[in-house]
Amino acid sequence: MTIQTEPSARADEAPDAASTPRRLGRLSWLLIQTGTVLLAGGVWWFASTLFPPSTLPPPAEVIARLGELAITGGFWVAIAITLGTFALGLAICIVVGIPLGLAIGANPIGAGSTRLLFDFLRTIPPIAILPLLLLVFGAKFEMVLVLAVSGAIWPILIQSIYAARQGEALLAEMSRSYRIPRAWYIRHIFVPGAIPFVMTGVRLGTTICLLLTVSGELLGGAPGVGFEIANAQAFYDNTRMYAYVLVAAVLGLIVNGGFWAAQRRLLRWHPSVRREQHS
Amino acid sequence: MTPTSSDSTSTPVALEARGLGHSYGPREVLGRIDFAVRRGEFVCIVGPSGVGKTTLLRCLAGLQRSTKGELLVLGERVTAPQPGVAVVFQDYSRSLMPWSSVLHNVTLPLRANGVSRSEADRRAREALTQVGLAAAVVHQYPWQLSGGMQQRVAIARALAYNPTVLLMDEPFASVDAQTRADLEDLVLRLQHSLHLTVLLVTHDIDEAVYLSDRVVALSGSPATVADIVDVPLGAERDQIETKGTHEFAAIRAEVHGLVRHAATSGSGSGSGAEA
Repeated sequence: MTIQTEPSARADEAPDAASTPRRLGRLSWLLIQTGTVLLAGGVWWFASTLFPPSTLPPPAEVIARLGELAITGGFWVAIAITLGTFALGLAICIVVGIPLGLAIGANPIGAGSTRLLFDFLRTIPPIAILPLLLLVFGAKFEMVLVLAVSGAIWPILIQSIYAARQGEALLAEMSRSYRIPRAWYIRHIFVPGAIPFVMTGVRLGTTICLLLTVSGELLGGAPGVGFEIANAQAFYDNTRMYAYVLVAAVLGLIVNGGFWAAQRRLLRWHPSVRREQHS
Repeated sequence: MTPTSSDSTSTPVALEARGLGHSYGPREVLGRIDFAVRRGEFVCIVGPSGVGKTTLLRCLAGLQRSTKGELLVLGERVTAPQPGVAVVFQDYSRSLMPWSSVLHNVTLPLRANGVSRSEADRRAREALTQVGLAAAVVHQYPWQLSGGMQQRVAIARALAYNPTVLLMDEPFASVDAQTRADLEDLVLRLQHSLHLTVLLVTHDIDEAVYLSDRVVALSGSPATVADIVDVPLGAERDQIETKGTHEFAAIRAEVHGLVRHAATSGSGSGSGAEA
């Protein structure tokens, strides 16, 4: 798994939500996107006619199975565990990564001295430490959590280090000339100015965290959606397996939607989000 | 010429540069700068771009230590930003916090310096009224306003800070001509009504003459004070009438001569001196 954690200043791009051409309304786009999903479903259905049903069951069958699973408790428990692990992992990455990154980045010696170490650590594929984690924690939720954090923290940490140096220099001047104390400067000027750049890291970290949560469950045999996929596969129940793969995909969509909603709230003022309204 | 000319000796000096010099490494930007600004005076520092005007203003604001000489602001030696001094920067869009409302932008320096929330709010609203911004604007973000209105917010932030000395770094260089004239008149009005001491840096000679009681012309590389020109145009000024008078034209020509002389006699380019 290649994890792209290069610092980037692309917080001002909002690929999904904001950059969709505005000529068409929200509803029209929803219809078009639904159409594309249906088309992909059609391709899946066509492909399923070419393979034996046990290998690639048709979509209708998978969705019917999903419906059957949805009325079982275990299905929701698996989702709750996966989402809970993901959320806790992401929270740890944010609570540790952002302040640590900003603190390191605000200090040239900090940024310079940690660079080699962090570049080394972040290139270790998280899955490579899975055997170690299994040994230490066993096939449990803690193992998955540590795996997810060990992968997702890097983009957040590194982007935060970078963000600390992107603040508006003139605002720092302004702050000094008005004798604004350091704590006020950090709270009201430094941190808000860094957030757009930090968000790029959080976006990458969010995706990585969910992928690693599911992967850890799948490969490590810890409870959750990933385990359900592996388990169904072990019993050659491919319909059930695909049903859980769909669940994982939907979780990804939900998490991604949550990220964009949070970004829109946090960066109301940012050019990527705001609607210019000159008076 | 005597740079620290003090003909009206009764008025105390608000701001004084004594043999001020500044070098960036081996490159000397400011040579020997001597001038004084009395309380309630409006003084413009004019000079070609790159001459070191911004460096001088940064030293006066306490944002930068000069490498030679000394600066006195309100009787104190400047080593750090002073309480009675407010700065208005050229680039309003970058000097205001885009994530904060207009009101929060104006109140932040006050709150951070220990003024209570209600008092800071009151002073901010008063200052915003003084600069001619409607009450409806206070909860908007700066980027929802035009450039001229944003610079009014920056001026209001300075006023709410209750300064004795207002330092302005090319404050109207980024707005259109009409807005610029409006802002010039606004600052003149405020200077009179609030008895402010204003030091404004500009490359625009018309602006300098129109606004000032005295114009300090910088020249050369390293920059020195070419001359200090009195502007006896009276307290009441009008964009059309004042600029149409013979006195205005004469002073303008005089300052122009000093600055042009500066531009031609300056050795090499002074680019980057205002970084």
